[in-house]
Amino acid sequence: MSYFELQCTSHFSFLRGASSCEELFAHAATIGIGGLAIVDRNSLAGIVRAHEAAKVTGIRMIVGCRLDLVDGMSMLVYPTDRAAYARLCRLLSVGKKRGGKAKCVLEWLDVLEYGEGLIAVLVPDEADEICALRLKRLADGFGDRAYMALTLRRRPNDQLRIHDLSNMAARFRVSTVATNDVLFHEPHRRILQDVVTCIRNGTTIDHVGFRRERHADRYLKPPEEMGRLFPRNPEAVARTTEIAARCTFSLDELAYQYPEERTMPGLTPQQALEKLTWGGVKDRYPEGLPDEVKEKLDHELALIERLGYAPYFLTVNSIVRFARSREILCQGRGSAATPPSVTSSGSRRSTPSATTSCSSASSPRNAASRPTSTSTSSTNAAKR
Amino acid sequence: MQRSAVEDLRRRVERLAAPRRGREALPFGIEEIDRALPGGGLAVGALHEVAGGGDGAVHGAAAALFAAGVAARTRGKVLWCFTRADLFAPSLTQVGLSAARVIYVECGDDKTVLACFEEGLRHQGLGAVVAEVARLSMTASRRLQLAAETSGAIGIAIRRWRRQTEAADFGQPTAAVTRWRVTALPSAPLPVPGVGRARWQLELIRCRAGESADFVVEACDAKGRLHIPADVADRLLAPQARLATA
Amino acid sequence: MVGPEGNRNVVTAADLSARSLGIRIGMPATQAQALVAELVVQEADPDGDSASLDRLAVWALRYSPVAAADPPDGLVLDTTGADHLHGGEEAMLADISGRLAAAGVRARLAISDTWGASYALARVSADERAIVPAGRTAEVLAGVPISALRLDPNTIADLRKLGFDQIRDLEATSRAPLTLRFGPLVCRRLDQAFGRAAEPIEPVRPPDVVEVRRVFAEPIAAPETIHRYLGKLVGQLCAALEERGLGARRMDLLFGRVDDEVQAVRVGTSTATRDVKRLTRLLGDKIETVEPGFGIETMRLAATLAEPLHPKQTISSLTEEPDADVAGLIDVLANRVGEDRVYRYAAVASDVPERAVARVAAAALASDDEWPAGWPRPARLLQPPEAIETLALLPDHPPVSFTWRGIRRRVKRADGPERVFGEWWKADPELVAVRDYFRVEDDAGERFWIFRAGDGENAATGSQRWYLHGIFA
Repeated sequence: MSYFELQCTSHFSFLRGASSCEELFAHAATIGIGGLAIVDRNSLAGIVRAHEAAKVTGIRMIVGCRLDLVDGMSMLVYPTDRAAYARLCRLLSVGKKRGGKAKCVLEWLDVLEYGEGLIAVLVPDEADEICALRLKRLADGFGDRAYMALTLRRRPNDQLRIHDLSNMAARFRVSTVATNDVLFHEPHRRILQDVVTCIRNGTTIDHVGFRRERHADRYLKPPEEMGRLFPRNPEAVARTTEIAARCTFSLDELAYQYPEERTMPGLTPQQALEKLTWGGVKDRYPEGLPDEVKEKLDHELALIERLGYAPYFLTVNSIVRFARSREILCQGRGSAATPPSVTSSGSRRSTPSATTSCSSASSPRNAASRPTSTSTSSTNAAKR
Repeated sequence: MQRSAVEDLRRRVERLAAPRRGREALPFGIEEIDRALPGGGLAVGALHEVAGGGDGAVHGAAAALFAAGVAARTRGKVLWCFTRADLFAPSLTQVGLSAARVIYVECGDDKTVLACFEEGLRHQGLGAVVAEVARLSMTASRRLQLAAETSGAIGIAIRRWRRQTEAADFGQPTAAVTRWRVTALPSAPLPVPGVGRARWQLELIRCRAGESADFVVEACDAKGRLHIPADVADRLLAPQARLATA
Repeated sequence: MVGPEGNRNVVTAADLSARSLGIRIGMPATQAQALVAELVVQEADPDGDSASLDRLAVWALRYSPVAAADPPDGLVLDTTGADHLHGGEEAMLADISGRLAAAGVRARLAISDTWGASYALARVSADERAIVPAGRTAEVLAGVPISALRLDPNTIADLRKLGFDQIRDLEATSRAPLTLRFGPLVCRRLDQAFGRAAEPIEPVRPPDVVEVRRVFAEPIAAPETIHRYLGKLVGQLCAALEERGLGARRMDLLFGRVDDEVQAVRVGTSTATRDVKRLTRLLGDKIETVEPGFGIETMRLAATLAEPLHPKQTISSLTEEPDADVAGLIDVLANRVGEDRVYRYAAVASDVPERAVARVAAAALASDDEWPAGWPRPARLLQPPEAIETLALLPDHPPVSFTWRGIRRRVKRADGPERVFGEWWKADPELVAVRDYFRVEDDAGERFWIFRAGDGENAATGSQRWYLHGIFA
C-alpha cells in the first residue's frame, strides 16, 4: 500500500511545527511512507532542508506550501512544474511585501492570479456553508487541480464529519485526499509542540489551557494505519500517490542565475573572469608567471567554468573594487574562498602560492548549494 | 380533553388566587406535548416530578437533562439540590443551562434536600429549583407546591432511587402538577459509525386536569428544546394519548 | 520547665524526650538535672502561659461561640450545633488538631456530652482524638481512672488508698461517707462528669469586637419574645457596624440563662452585610435550637467576624439581569448545610474530564471560560471510574460488548475514539498516558462513556484496562 503524507509542518513554521525536516524524513523512511510534502505556513523556508533530507534518506520530497488567507481559508498548494514554482514564489513575495515583517497578507484573488500549474488542496473545518463556498471557489478556479483534505481529528463525531465532507466534495466534483496534518514526526514530540504553543501565546503550560492543539495524533503514520483509519475512503488515501505523481517539480531543476554582469559587454562571465585574471597576473608577476602558479590558475579557471561560478567571482571582485575605492578594509570569509584566481585578479594582497587548493575543497558540486559571499567590511575604516 | 365542571371551576379559582405573572406556563414548543398540558405548557409556579425509566431510575441521567432543558428556558438563577454529587456540569451547558446560573446545594440526606428545595422555592426571583430525592410524601409535596406558587418558580423533583426495586415508589400519589418519566431510546441512525442524536421515551404519567400521554422525542438541543424526530413525525398525525392510569 | 513549690524548685512541665528519660512532673529540679545530663531547664512563666492560653481560647472561637480557657493546659468548647458547619465532629477535631500542630502545639482532644467527661478522656484516652457518641458518655466514663476527675492530687492519693481506682468504683459507693471524708467536691465532680449537674462555660470575649447586649430584669423564655428582642439587637448591632463602616460576616448570639448556662447560635454570610432583615432571618432560623431552661437573663450579639463594607455596592453591568438577592438565599442554605456545600461549578481548561470542573463560591462572579461546545459530555460522571470487562478488537474500535456491575451489554453503536492525553506537566506518569474515550450505546438505547487506559498498542501509555466514566442521557 502506498501513501504520501502531503501535509507536514516542519519547525520552519516558526513555533508551530516541532520537528526538523531531517527528523521527519528519517522517520518517514522507517515507517514506509513514499514521500513527504513540507507545507510550512505562507513560507517556503523549509524546502531546502527538506530537499537535502530527502536525498539523504531516499524518500521523495514534494515542494509545497500552506497558504493562510486573510478571510480564514487555508489551502495547501503544490507546484507541478518549475513555472508554477516561480509563480508560487512570486505569490508569496506579493503577500509578504503587503504584510511587512514576518507577516503575509494574501487574498483569494491573488491565489487565482498566480495559481496556474498549482495543485490546491482545501483544508476544511466543518462541512458547513463556509466550506461549501470555498469548495465552489476552488473548483471554479482550479478545475481538476482542486482537492480537499480529509483529516481525522480523534474527537467526537469524527466519522460523521468525514462523511459529510466527503459528500460535500462530491457535490462540487472536488476529489478528496487523506492527510494527517502532521506537526511532529513521532508521538513523544507532542510535549515540545505544547511548549512551542506556549511560547507562541506568551504564556506558561499551566495557563495555556485550550490553546494547545485540540486534535490528537499529529504525527507521521504508516500507510497501513492510514488505510485502516479511512475504511470508507480508500480513494482518498490513494489520491496521495496521484498528487505526488502530478508534482514532478524538484529543486534539482533550479540552477542559480546570477545577475548579468555589465562591466564587460560582449563577453560571457567566464571570459570576463579569465580576462581579469590574466590581466591581474601581469601586475602581480611582472618578472613572469611561475609554472606552478600558472598550473593552479588553469586548474581553477577550468573548475570555475565547469561549475559555472564565474559570475560569483565577478561579483566579489566588484564588491572588493568598490570597497578599495572607498578605502574600506575587506576580507573574504567562509565559502567566499580566496582561490589564486581571485587573488591574482586583485582582490587580495597575499601571494597566491601560499594558498592551497582550497577552492576545490570548498565547492561542492551540488548545484543547489551556492557559495555565499560574506565579505566583512571594517566600519572603522569607513569612518576614516 | 375531558374536564368536569368542577375541575373547570377549580382551575378558574386557582387562576384568580394565584399572583399575576407574565405567563402561566412554559411551552415545550412541540404541539403534541403542549396540547396535552393545561395552559399549553409546563405550569410555572408549580411542582413537577420526573423520574428515569429502566436503569434511569437509579442513575437519573435523562431525567436530569430533561429538568436542565426546562430550567435553561427559564430566566434567572437555578438551584439544584441533591445528596449524590455526580452531576457533570458540562452536560448542563450543552442543553443551554450555563454554569453561571446554577447554584448547587449538597445535602446530607433527603430531609435536608426537601428543606432546601422549599427554601429555594419560596425565594423570589429564581427561574427554577431542581431537587433530586428518593421519597416524596404527599405532605412534603403539598408544602413544595405551595412554596412554588408563592414565588412563581418552576419546581422539579427528580425522583431517583438507590435500587431499581425501590422505583415502584413512583406509583404513590403526590401533589405535583405533572409527573413524567424519561427513558433512553436508541439514537437516530447514522450512515457511518457513530452515535446520532439521543432519543427518549417521554411519558406524561400524570397531569392534574389533564390526561396521560407519551411521546418519542429527540433529547434537548443546545437551547434546551425537545424535538419530534423526523421519521416519527411523519408517521404520527395525532399524539398517542392513553387513558389516565396512574 | 521548673517553678517553685514551697521552698524548692520542681519540674512543672517536660517534653516527650525528657519524659522518656524518666523526668516526671513534680520531681525536684535537682533530681531531674542529676538524672539527665544535658537537660535544658527554663524558668516556668505561669503568667505568660496563662496569657497564651487565653489567646488560644480566642482563636478557638472560630469553631464555636462558646470557648474558654481551662487552665492550666486546656481549652473547653461547647460545640453543640456548630460541628456540622465544619463537616461533622471527626472532621472538626481533625481540623483543630491539624491547625494546632501546624502552629507547633501538640494537642489531645475529646468530645462527649459533658465537660467533665471530655476533660477526662482528653487526658487518659488512648486516642489523641476521642469521640464519644451521644448518650454513651456514662458507659465510657465508668472505666476512666479517678485521677482524671479534676480533684487535687492529695484527694486522689487518699481515694486510691481506700481502694477506689476507677470512676465506676466511686459511682457504686454511697455518697454520704465520701462527702463526710472529702467534702462536697468529689460528688460534684462525679455529677458534672455524668451530666447530672450543670457546669456552665464562661465564653471568652475577644477584644475589639462589635457587640450589643441586653439584660432582662425578668427572665424571658417565650420564642416570640426572644424573636422580638433579637430583632432589636440586630438593629442596634447593624447601626454600630455602620458607624465603623463594617459589615458582618459572622454573628454570634449568646443567651445567658438563669442557671448560668450559656446557649449560643452562630450564623455566617458569604458577603459582608448590614442588612437587618436578612440577619434577623438567619439568626431567627436557629432560635428553635435554643433551650431557654428556667429563663434567659442576658442576650449578647457580637459580630465576631466583620469586614469593611462601603455604603454603595451596585451591579455595574447594564447587560446583566438584576439578580434577585440570591446572596440571602445562599446564606440561609450555607448555614443549614455548611459553607462548602453550597457552590457553583466553573470551567477548567483541561481535557481530563474529572479535572474539567472546579467548585467556586456560589456568590462568585461568573467567568468567561467555557467548556468546548459540540463535544458531547455525559450527564452523570462516576468518580472514580468503574472498571468494566470488555470484549474488544482493534485499538481504534470500541468493544463489542462490556460488563458493568454484573450486567453484560452489547455495544450496538459507538463513536470514538476521542483521544485524551495526560497532562504531562502535572505528573511524570502522564507524560505518555492516554485515554481513548468511546461513546457507546447498547441495544436498549442506554448510552455510556467508557474509556481504555492506554492507546491499545503501546504498553507505556496505560494499563489497557477499560473503565466506565459516565452515563449519557
